[in-house]
Formats: sequence, C-alpha cells, structure tokens
Amino acid sequence: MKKLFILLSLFLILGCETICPSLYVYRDLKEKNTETLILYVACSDGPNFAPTKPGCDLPKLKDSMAEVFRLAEITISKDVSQSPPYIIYLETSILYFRASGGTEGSSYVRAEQVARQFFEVQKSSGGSSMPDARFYLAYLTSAHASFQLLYVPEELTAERKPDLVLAEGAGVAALPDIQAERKMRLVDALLVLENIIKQIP
Amino acid sequence: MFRCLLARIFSLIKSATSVVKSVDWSSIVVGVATAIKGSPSKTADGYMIIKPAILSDANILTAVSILRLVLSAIPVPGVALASPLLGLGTVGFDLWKRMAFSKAYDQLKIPPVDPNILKVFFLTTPALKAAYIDMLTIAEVSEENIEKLEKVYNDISFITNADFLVAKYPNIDAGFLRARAKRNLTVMQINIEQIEQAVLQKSNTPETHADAKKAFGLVKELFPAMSDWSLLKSDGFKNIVSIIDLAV
Repeated sequence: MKKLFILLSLFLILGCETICPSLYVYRDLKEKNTETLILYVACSDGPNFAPTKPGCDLPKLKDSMAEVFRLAEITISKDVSQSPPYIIYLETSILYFRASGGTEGSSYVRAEQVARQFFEVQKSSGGSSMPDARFYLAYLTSAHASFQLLYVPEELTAERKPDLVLAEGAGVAALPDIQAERKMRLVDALLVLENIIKQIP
Repeated sequence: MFRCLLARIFSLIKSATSVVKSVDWSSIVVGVATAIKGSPSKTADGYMIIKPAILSDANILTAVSILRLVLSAIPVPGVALASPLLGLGTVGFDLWKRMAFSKAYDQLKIPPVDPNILKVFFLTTPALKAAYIDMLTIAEVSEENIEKLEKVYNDISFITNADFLVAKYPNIDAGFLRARAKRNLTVMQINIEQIEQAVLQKSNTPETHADAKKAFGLVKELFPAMSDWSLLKSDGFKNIVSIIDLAV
C-alpha cells in the first residue's frame, strides 16, 4: 500500500508539473534575480552606478542579467497572467540599461514590448498590478524613445506617436500610486516623453 | 516483488474501475482542461510577444491523461476524489499559485536612472544644458561622463534642501535648483501623506494610531532637511523604508 502511495504521489507530482511547470522555473528565476541584485548592489553607491567600485564584477553582472531575462521569458510563457516574472524582467531591464550604458537598441525594443504586454494583460484582467504595469510602460517607453531620439531619430515617426502618447497617459495615471523614489524617476521620464512627443509632427 | 506490486496495482485499478464507472468523465476532462487553461485572455494578440506555453494542446492533453490515470488508479469513489482534484484546478489551484507567486522579492529602493533619459533630460532642460553642454554631444557621452551627470541628476532629483543644492552647484541656475528642491519636497511629502493615511487606516487601536502619527511626524521633519545621501543610509531612513514596506 505504501508503494502504491509513492507511485500515485509520483503521478500527482507529474500531473501538477504538467499543469504548472513554471513553479520550478520561477524558483530558479527568483534565485537568479536575487543573485543579480547582489551583484548590482556591489556596483552601486546609493542611487549612483559605480562600476569602478571595488568588488564590482561587471561582466558577471551582465551575464547574470541575461540569465534573468531568459528565465523570466520562460516563466511568463508558462503563465502570462502572473505579474512577478514581468516585474523581475522589467526591473532587470532598468538595471541592465544603466549597466550597459544604454547603447543597445534591441534591448530597449524588447523591454518596451514586454512592458506593453504586461500592461495589456493587466488591463484586460483588471489586475492588481496595474500601477506597476503603468509605471514600467511609461518609464521604459520613455527610455526607448530617448534612445531613438539620440541614435535613430528617423524612427520617431507619426506611427510611433500613439505608443508614446499611450505610455504618457499610463504614466500620469500611475503617479498617485507610485512610491517616492520611483515617482521622482517617473516624473522626469514623463517630462522627457512629453518633449519627445512635441518633436514628432 | 515488483511483479507482485504490479499485480496489486492492476487489481486495485480493476476494482476501482467498477466504482468509477458512474463518473462523468467528459465533465472531468472539460473541468481539468478549463482549470489548466484558465479564463480566455482578452489581451490582443499583437501585444503577446511571449506566448503562453501552458496553453499548448499537448500540455493540456498530457495533464488530462495523467490526472485520469491518477483518478482511475485510486480505489475510492471517483467523484469523491475528482471533486478535490478539480477543486485544485479552480479555487485551490489559484490559491496555490497565489501563494507560490506573491512572495515578495527584493526590489531596489532607488532605481537607477536610464542613461538615455538622463541625456535627453539634460539636453531638454535649459539650465542643465547650459551648464553641461560640453559633456552632452553624442561623442562626448562616455561612461565616465554619464557617471558625472548621473550624480548631478540624482542630487537634483532627491535633495530637498535648496540652499544645499545652490551651494553645491554654483554653475547651475539657482532658480532652477530652488524649483527642483521644492518639487522634490512636494513629491516626497505627498507620498508620505499617502503612506501615513494607509497606515492609519490599518491601525486599529488608539496606541498604534498615536505611534503611527508620531513616526510620520518625524518622517516629515526629516525630508525638508535632507541634503545628503548619507541620510538615506541612516537608521532613520531605514526605519522609514520599513514603514513604507509595511504599508504597501
């Protein structure tokens, strides 16, 4: 009877894993996220990024971030409605852009796409993470648009404008729900976004 | 031994089969499939760049077949067992996922500024552009310069003491710095007010209510005087962060 229970438990575990295999990937993602944050903190001084600080290992930090992105995408694909993997992905994007000097256009495109997906999923489900989704959409769209303005201004076309206007609206709506430190960032990101929108005919 | 075990299992399955014949398998399969799939997403496909792998037909069929096997192998009335299992697929399953996913993870309290937002902010703010134009052409924006600009930006983003800012940055227009310090204080104070209200709503005894009001009074006194990052590393600020963490 005991062996039967072991066998049935095995079936049950297999069943649960098949229903929601993201549990194990998510555990790995959380561990990698924690590892990345420790590496990032070693490279920062308060709000300032300090790559020359003793103990900062920039190549390792970037590798760790790449792994977070990979695991976060897998976790999101297992269950697109869960907020934490999106937040980890987008929060890591903000760290990554600072650590990489903000010169990788494709990373900005991807981050804005993931932020938009998070926003749309939250909007369609009336999710409780809507303030976070609005913040990331506004902030990362502003970051991407800033990259475009500086390096590829020809991409800031009339077709691009609605994305920026939507992100600005989301950011304004998020302001009452955002904490002090993030609100400071968001207010300036919205100013930048507004200036960029004005430059598009 | 193994053959004996197998024979026992088959005998159990056989006896269970007769018991579970009355089970409406079609509803179980539909129930399990619904549990796995969840409610259909209303999100437009155009924004779904990371596809939900769980919704693949293969995944659903595998899950259903395994659950069927588990159900059929247990010598108890099928319906009695199916109910909690399928309950797992609705309320219980959601609860489990919530417990598994809502666990707080570490977030940095002060997010780094994006390097391109930083550059555009300096370029589109006349007072900053005038003071740092030599560091702002694309060719000049090296990592070294970004670090220098970032320190200025963080000071003018968080410091609430106008006199301190004006003294530290004589090259930047004083009117702009005073306006920033005022804005910083306003944003901080509004946040503190909101958090205070959230905490006070949760404090259900006069004692905790009084303690919360006292704590936030101290917080409000701290921010106008904030003139240095060392304050952010102080125990006082850590206590504030703890209060914020508790409240949100």
